[in-house]
Amino acid sequence: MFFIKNMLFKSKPKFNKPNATESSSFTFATEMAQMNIQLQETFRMLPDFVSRELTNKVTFGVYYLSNLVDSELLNKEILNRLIEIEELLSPEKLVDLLPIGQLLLDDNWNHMQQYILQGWTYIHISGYKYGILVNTAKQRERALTKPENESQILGPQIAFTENLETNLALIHQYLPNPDLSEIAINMGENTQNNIRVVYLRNRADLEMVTHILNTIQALDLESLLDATVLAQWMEDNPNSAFPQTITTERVDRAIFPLLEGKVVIVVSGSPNVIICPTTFLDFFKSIEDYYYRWTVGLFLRGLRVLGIMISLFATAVYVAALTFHYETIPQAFLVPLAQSRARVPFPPLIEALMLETIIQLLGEAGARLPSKVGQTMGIVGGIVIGQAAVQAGFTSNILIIIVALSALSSFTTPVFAMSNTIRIIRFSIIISAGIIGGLGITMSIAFLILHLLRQSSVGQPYFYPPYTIENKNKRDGLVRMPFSSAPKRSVFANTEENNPKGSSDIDE
Amino acid sequence: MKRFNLIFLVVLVLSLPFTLHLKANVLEKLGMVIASGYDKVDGNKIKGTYVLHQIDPSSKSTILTITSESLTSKGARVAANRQSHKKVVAGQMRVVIYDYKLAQSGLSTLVDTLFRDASVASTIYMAVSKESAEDLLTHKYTQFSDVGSFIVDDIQQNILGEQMISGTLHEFLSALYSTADPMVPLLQRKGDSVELKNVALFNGDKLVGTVGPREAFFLKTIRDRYKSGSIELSLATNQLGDIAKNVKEKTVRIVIENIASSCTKKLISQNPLKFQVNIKMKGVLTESSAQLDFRQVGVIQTLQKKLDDESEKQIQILLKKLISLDSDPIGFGEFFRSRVYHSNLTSDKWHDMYKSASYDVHVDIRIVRMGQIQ
Repeated sequence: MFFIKNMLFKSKPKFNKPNATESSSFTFATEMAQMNIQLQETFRMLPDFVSRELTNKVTFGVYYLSNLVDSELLNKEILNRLIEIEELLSPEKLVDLLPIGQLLLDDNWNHMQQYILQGWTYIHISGYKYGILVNTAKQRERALTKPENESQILGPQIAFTENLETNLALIHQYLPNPDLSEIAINMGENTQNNIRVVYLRNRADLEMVTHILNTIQALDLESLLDATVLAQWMEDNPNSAFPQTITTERVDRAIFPLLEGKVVIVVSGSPNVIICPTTFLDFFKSIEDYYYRWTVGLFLRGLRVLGIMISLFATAVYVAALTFHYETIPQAFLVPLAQSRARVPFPPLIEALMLETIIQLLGEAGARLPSKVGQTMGIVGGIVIGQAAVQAGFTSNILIIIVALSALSSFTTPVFAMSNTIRIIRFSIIISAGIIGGLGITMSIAFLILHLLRQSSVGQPYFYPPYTIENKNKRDGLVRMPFSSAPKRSVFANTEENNPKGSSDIDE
Repeated sequence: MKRFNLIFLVVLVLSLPFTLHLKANVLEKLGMVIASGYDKVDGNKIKGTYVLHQIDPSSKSTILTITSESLTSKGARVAANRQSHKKVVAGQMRVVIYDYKLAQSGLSTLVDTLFRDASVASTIYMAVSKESAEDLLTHKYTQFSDVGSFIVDDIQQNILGEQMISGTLHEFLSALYSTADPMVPLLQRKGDSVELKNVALFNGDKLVGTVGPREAFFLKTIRDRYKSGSIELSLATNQLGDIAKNVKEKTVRIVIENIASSCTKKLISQNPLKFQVNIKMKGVLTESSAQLDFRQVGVIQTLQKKLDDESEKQIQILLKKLISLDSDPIGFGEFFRSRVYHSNLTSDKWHDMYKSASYDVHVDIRIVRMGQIQ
């Protein structure tokens, strides 16, 4: 068994040591010509690299990548001004003339190269060993839009974009709070990601923040494409089927946990932010529950919990009842059920697995297809397959209802990652129900609870309210209470009841 | 170690289906019995009749009836299995019917197999049939297609409506193993229909006699709290005195619908054995054969008094009848045992004492309404 495992997954990935960059050997030179050659050499594979010498009375070398810079800004603020300069200036003086510029701090060639690759412009002054860097980068981002994947009826209709600065500005806009703290971490040699760990200094448990920082810093990632990737790296148990952090595109969904004393991690280039720590029940709460009046919120949350139960156990109960426990079927239901099963050539387990797979295929096909074709897909799947399968004696019509119901209920979960998990776990419960009946369902529940109890999210208990029930967090665990009686902060917060943990200054 | 645990778990889970003696009973491969009936036939044999659900969609009939003979009831089911294309199982059985002769010779061995079977619920109904159970179950009824479901529904709706005493397996066994005696409904085929005719009374596991539905009403009222049912009482006109001056008929028949009744029992003396039975009942007068003028003062009171007397008389007759049958379905024995410390009462001992029991019955009927207008 383990031999096959080794064959499937190579235990040690082949490690390609990246070739040392040729430019690393370059050093800054005083002469313009020498610098020109070196820079040309460094960026020889980038055709849009511009190296210009502006010679009026003094000679400046200006170097940038033309498709990354904001050309209007470059012309107006830099090129025009440089031409007007009449005397030889030291770089320190030049910085004063160019407000958006900054002094090149060290003579590390790689750093300068990195800045140019991010759209900055390097200005070299003949006769000095170092020049200045000006931020002329043009940010390419889409406009702020409505959240598309986590749509809601009530509440703010604004989503994060791919731009780190915009995302942070949105958070600041909602929380103009002096205690709002950000810690910056850079990561990814290839992608040069900025990561910001955002929390409220007076609310968050600082021990936990330190833990998160240490976890992120310990990761030495070469590239980081999205926050969801970072979320996976941060997970305490990557082998669990359950997601251990929530990633969200909704701004309000990220503000709420901040107020609760949780930590939000923003990654540049990703429209999702990570919320941690997260408990199991958090996945079934929608922020919209708090926008509705509490009776409605309570009902909708209850409906969602019912949906999870249905989607996990409905098909399994059908399989168990039909395979082992025919005694439990109500009499009024018995004959129609038996008659619809009479034509089906497969045992209930195979029948259920087959139909579940068809439903999952439909869902997956619907997610991948363009929306116009997607509608056709729904008709083909829902009507043709559903109706035809029964008439052909492929499945019983009662199973179609049950499977459709459980598929429907699995999509009520507000966090998409969790609804996917439930879709997968369902299969193992169905199989165990098909092998040993109701006992199998019971055992699955037991294993599920055991597994959940063992999990942790950034070092905090994952299966939280069932794991330790304290007086203050009985409320708002699963039950949406009126605001007057609900606790204001989560248990992970640094509140009066929870004594402060960790020191207030966190080393970066 | 961790790897060992994993392997151990997998082996454990995979071996469970074999070690647990789990039998897959796939629904459509089962012949599910709705009702079974047992008859006594000559030579110590039992004849079993089984009404099965017919789940073939193309079949005209909704049931399948199988008859088989064997020495035991379980054997009869095995014999029935040989005649069926599907495995005969008892998990969906709702009613068991024993014929009169079989019940007279004792049911404990037959009931025993039911409660040993985990798939048989203890809430299944038991009944005794006046004639043979085979005739009851195999007769071609023209008014309904599924005799099994008909009997089940008939018993069920009458028990839920509290028109009939409840005779489930659980109640039968609980009475049998205590000092009380069981009672179950008695069924009789009446042409093309099945009727809940009487209540069959047992002494231990042997049937000793029957009482009619009117007496069953009093049985129920004495036994426990009660919220429905109705009594029909005939009062002699001349006893009613002034209030029935204009009535020509010799008897006035009154129907009282019970709203709520409660019964308290007291042990007055042990030697001689004497119990007091107090019944309080609220009722609605729903029918009266004579036009009585209820607006006059005292009419209702007089009527109530007469109704009390009449029902006391009838209850006394019933209790005497129970003693003469040597059957204690009300559970005075249990009541005695709960009141007398260290009585060490056994069923045999109680039946000896029961013969000498006497009762002091008080009935208090209150007519709270004269019918309702919608």
